[in-house]
Amino acid sequence: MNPNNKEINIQIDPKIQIRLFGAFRGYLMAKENFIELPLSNPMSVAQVKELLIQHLDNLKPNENTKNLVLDSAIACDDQILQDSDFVNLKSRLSILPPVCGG
Amino acid sequence: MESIVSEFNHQISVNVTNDVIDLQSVIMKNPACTHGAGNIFIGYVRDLNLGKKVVGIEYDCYESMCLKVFKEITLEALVKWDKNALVTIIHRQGFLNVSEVSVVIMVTSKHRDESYKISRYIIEEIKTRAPIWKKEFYTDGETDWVKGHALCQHRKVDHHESDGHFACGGTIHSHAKG
Repeated sequence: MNPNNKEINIQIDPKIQIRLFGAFRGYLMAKENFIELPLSNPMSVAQVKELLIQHLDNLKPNENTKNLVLDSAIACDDQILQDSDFVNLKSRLSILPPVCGG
Repeated sequence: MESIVSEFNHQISVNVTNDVIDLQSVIMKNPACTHGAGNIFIGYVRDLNLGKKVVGIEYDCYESMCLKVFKEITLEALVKWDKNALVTIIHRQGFLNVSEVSVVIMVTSKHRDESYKISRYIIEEIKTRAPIWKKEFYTDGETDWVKGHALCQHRKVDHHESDGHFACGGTIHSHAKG
């Protein structure tokens, strides 16, 4: 190997996975429960939500999508994030619509 | 929080299950010998919600976060009313028919007053904090996800309808502003 060559790791089209719950499942096929969004490092939760709105609208246009996303919480590893928090490729995210257990 | 939770670990039992809840085994769990009261709340799937006839409900749960939230809620209740109480919470996930048991909360405590208060607190908090969602199935073949309580901080929106009850038997309750 030419000692002048250097290995450079390039991540092509980095994406972040978001697990979907509740009403968001209706945007996917029956057994799927996550989507992938293109990630620009770093990205705030608010930006993730904006991307999610666009992505879901492309999957299944619905006048309620924007409000549903904005009324939902983004969680990372069981912890709810604020809109001002930042995420990266390693973040394990979920989107949680308004809840109604019991 | 985690160190406090571990202190009460032996008093709190929480579970999310796809299986039918065995009520007998929940009731027969031995209370502490200092406990004089036991209180059990059972939530059922009701056949009517907002004027629509329901044939069943599909519960979707973010299981790991549910268990965490159940423990947090229980801990708050124990600290507030009886640090020696024993609590069991079991919530179903998956599809349930009308009249099936969706949730059970069992509390044993020294006196009955604390058991009622702890039980009531837990179910009310579960409804607004636990990551659980319900998809109702109606007699006309339609389905709909039940509207609920927002978890995100900056948009505390209560999606209650103006009247009616949730199919699980819970009643719509007001939320304090501020």
